[in-house]
Amino acid sequence: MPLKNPSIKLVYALIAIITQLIVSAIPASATGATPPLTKCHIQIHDAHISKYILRTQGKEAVKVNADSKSDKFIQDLRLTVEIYKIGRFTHYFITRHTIEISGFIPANSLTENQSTYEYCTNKKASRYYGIAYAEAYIKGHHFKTPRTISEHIFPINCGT
Amino acid sequence: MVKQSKGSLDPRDLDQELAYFEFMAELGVKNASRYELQSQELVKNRKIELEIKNTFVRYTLDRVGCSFQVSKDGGKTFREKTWVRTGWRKSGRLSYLPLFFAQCETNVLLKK
Repeated sequence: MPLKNPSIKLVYALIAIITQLIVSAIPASATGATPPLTKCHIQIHDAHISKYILRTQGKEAVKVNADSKSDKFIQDLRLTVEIYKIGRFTHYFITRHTIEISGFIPANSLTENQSTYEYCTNKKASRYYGIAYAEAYIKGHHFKTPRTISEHIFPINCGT
Repeated sequence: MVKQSKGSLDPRDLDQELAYFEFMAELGVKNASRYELQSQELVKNRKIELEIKNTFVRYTLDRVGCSFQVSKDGGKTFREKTWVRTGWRKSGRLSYLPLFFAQCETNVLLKK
């Protein structure tokens, strides 16, 4: 429907011009993802059968490892890994383990959580994944990472 | 020979991991009778508190799992370190808990 009122036309034209100016003023790099404030990250690996548990204890266990690294000095780190199993109707929470490092951790050092696992009770093929998250103090500020999920989920011959 | 896949640990880390599980297996054998008694006590009372090498620890049972908590202030406050699904059956819990005790004590002793 054509606009008959000239003042409304003027308002629409102004809005269009201002919008165009704002969009053109934004640099191309800023239109992508917001860059992180620190180069700190956590990484979670895929669920697997631990060959070391099998070798030392003669039992099979599903295991998920995670690690954390930061380019800043961090303090009082808590790195948690949770293992979930994909069931028919829901995802079952299997286990959770937190490693806690009190005091300062030097910049660029790798902190690993390799103690999160669950023993298999049978050989039934099941799909597992891990979720990792961490919290720590950086320059006196408390930071929490978002939850990170394992990249690949595939069946493992391990029922729990 | 250990195959290195993308994102896997380097051989030094693998040695540490192997040492960790060997230590845990050793604890499991050495303290088998104590872990069995602890399991029975935990299933009966649903909560036990212990001291492992000057570290106060607490185990609590909930509906389907067991929580392991550690205190850093001499037993005043506890923070959860590990939670595992044990199932609700008493027999299942009694068979699972000794392994869990070995795992938790290894984590405390090796500061994992």
